[in-house]
Amino acid sequence: MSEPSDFDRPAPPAAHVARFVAAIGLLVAISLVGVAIDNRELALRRRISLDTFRADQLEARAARLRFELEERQTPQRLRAAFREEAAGPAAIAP
Amino acid sequence: MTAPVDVPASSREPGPSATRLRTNVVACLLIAVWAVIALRLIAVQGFSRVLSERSARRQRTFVETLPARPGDIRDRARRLLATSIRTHSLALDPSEIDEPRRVAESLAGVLGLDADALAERIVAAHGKRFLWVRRQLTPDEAESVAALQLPPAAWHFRVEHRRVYPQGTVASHVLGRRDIDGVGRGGAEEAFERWLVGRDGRRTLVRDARGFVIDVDGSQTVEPVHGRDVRLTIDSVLQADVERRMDELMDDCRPLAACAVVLDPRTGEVLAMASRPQLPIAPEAEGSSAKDEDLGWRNHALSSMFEPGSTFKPFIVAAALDQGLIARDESFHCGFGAYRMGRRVLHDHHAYGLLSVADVLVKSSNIGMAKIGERLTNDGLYEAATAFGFGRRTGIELPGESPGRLHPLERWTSYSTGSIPMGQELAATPLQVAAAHAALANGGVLLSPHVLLQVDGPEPAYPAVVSRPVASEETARWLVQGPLVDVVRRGTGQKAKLAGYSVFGKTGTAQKQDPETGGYSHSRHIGSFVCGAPATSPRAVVLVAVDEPTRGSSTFGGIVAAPAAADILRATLESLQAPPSAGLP
Repeated sequence: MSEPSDFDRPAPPAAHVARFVAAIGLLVAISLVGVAIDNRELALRRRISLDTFRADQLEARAARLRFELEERQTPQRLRAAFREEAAGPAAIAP
Repeated sequence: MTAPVDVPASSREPGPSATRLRTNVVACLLIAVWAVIALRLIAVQGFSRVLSERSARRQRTFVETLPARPGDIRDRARRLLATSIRTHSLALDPSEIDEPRRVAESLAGVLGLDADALAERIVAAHGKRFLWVRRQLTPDEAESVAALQLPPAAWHFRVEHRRVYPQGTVASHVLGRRDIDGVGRGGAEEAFERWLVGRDGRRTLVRDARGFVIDVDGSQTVEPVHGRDVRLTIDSVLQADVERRMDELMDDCRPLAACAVVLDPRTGEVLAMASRPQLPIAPEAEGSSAKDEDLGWRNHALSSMFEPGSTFKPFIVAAALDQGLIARDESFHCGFGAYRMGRRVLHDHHAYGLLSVADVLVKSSNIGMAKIGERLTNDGLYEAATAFGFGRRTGIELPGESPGRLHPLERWTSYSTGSIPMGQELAATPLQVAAAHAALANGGVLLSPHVLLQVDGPEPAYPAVVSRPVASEETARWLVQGPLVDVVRRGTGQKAKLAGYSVFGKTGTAQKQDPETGGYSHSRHIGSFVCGAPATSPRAVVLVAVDEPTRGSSTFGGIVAAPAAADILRATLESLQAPPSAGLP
């Protein structure tokens, strides 16, 4: 008596198919969640990097503005301005 | 019809042995190829794994330095004296440049450089990985360079900090400078380097094949530690006043150099310190010589020394009084202008007869001082000079301070007994003289002068001030409120009178050495004046020294230095809001 071929085997029960599909679905879902988490992490890292860069830029700008402010209010400059103001408009050189 | 040729079977189709042979050969070749590949893989992955990894990492990653921002320098009222702003410096990677000419022309166009010279530099540096093009670009220049769209791997900006001084040249000798590499040169920039300079950080960037940054490896990032802010005792408003007055003095008297020091005698704080000629802003300025530049860099207040002359006399009187060798009400005969000490004849400017101790100071009699010196002897004179801090550095934090010159006692002669009491045979810096007078103003306690007020931060640092009694309080008070007030009221320092304040002071006119004869010159002098107010509770001590004034009627300290010192003292008292002395007009 010969061995039965694959075609001769009975079809798997529906429960087996469902389990297989569920397993595949679970794997796909886990993968999708993983991809989403990875994307989210990348987005956050990008944002942190951008925020750090912006903070650096703002800090540098603040230093530059502070310098310009102090430069404009030095005692010599203020004294000259007061002197001109005290002397009146006629004293200001044309 | 021809008969068919009989072809041997072996030549028509290969037999089984030939086929097997060919199969074996092909199989062997394939095995050999695979074996070579496998061995190579083993070699790359195994034996030279470390090298390969390093090479791959070098190609993919780039370690960027995160420069620490140097701390600011502020004055006592927290006004900004020095700060740092971020700039970009442009560097090339010549090994990544295929068309040096084109890159050079692009950069030269926006940076105003010589394209030929830049191209030559790039070609000369071919094979190297780094070449500065220009450092500390302006924001506009940096934007223009970025807009050129050069190959990303061929260039990069390096972030650097440029030191800027919002007050311009005010207090430049006190501040010093920070060079393009961020190293402090002179002044507070050098003295407080350990606090001002932070510690650079670094971060690892991951790049793609085209050189674009795709990621930052946060696990290897080391954050920079920025420098700490330093506050100085300098008052920048007063400093500006002092410098303006010194500029006027330079115009009026045309001296080689001049300097001014303002001290708070109660704390030893330096409120202002100015030196002329001014530190050049652009050393390469047209017409400036190396000697000018050297003079400009020097902070004369603490690095130049001169014979203090008559400004030294009060310390000898204080020592003699404290040792009981003279009495306040004692008088000395000044020989009508001439006094023989051994083989030497001393002279006064005027022929004085009997002078009280106070009048010896008020009239600045050399003969009277020589007689006091004879009472003290060389030992006592040496002890007095060292007690008031002569012959050693005051301890101020700024670099370049001179200790002055006070010869060892063994080298003193009988001449010294006459010379030292009148401020000759020793040399002192203006700061030493000011600090010693501040000791008298402070009731006989010598405080080490300092410019550091505080180092900001979570754990603030403060200056170490050394105090030492050098004269009794009673003697110091008597000297300041008696003879030294009379110097200004009716003596050699009358040009330093201030309305509303009892000013004490002492003039000094030192002869410089004649380079030809080696002796004292009769035409080259250093005029100085030290004063303070109010005499009853001194808030400020001011010293002005003028080196070789060449214009004006006189080179005497009471003429050339006293008016400037008085103006500075008035500005200081106004700045400190010191109440006027009672009972004075």
